Amino acid sequence: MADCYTDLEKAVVVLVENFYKYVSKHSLVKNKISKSSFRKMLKNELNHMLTILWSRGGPHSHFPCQISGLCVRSHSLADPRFCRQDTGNRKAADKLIQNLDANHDGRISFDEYWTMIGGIMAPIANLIRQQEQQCNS
Amino acid sequence: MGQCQSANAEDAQEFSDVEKAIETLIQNFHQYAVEGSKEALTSSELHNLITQQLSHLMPSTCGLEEKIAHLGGCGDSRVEFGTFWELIGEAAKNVKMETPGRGS
Repeated sequence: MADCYTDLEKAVVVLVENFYKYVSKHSLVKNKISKSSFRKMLKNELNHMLTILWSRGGPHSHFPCQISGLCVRSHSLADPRFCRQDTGNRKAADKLIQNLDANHDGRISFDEYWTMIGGIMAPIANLIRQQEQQCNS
Repeated sequence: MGQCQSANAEDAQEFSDVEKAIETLIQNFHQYAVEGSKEALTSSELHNLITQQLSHLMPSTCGLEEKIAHLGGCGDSRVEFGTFWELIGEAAKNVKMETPGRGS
C-alpha cells in the first residue's frame, strides 16, 4: 500500500503509526495514550527536538508562548535550570501534558496528539527560517 | 552544562524517525511556500503541494478543491502552517482507517 507513497506521505504515516505505538493497551481506554506512555513517547521519539525548543525558548524566542494549547510560560523556559536536559525536560514535559489534556481525563487522544505535533512543528519551522535568514544576511 | 548551545547539526544526526518525519513535513511546506513570505502558502501553492505530494492520502476525489476554497475565501488568501497542519490531520485520519488492525 505504502510503496508508492511520497516522502511527505511516508512522514505522515510515521507520525500516525507513532501514535498507535504508544496507545493504551487497556481495553477501557481505546485509542488514547496514557500520561506515562506519553512521557515515554516524548523522551524516546521527540527528545532532540524538544530539547532544542525548550533550551532555546527564552523570552525573545517565538516559541512557545504563541502556540495555543502548548502554552508553556516563556519566563520559565528562560530559567537556566531548564537547559539541564533531564530535569528540565521532565518538568517541561509534565507541563506540556497538563496543557494538552484539556478535558483532564489523564489521556491523550489522537487529535490532542496531532495538535501537539503541529505545536512542535511550527516553532521548529520558525527556527529553521530564522537560521536561514541569519545565514543570508 | 552547555546544553543550551548543543542544538545543531550533530544533534540532527541522532533524530528519531518521528523527528525526521517532522523535518520532512517542514521542508515540504517551505519548498512550496515560494511566493511572498515563507510562513504561508497561497491557495495555488497549497493545491500544488497536495496534488503533487499527497495524492495518495488526499485524492482529489475527496472534495479537495472545495476544502481549499473554504480555507481561503478569496484569491489572495494565504494558508499558514497551522491550517496546513489541520488539513494534513484529515489525511492522517485516512491512514488511521486504512490500518485498523495494527499489531494484530
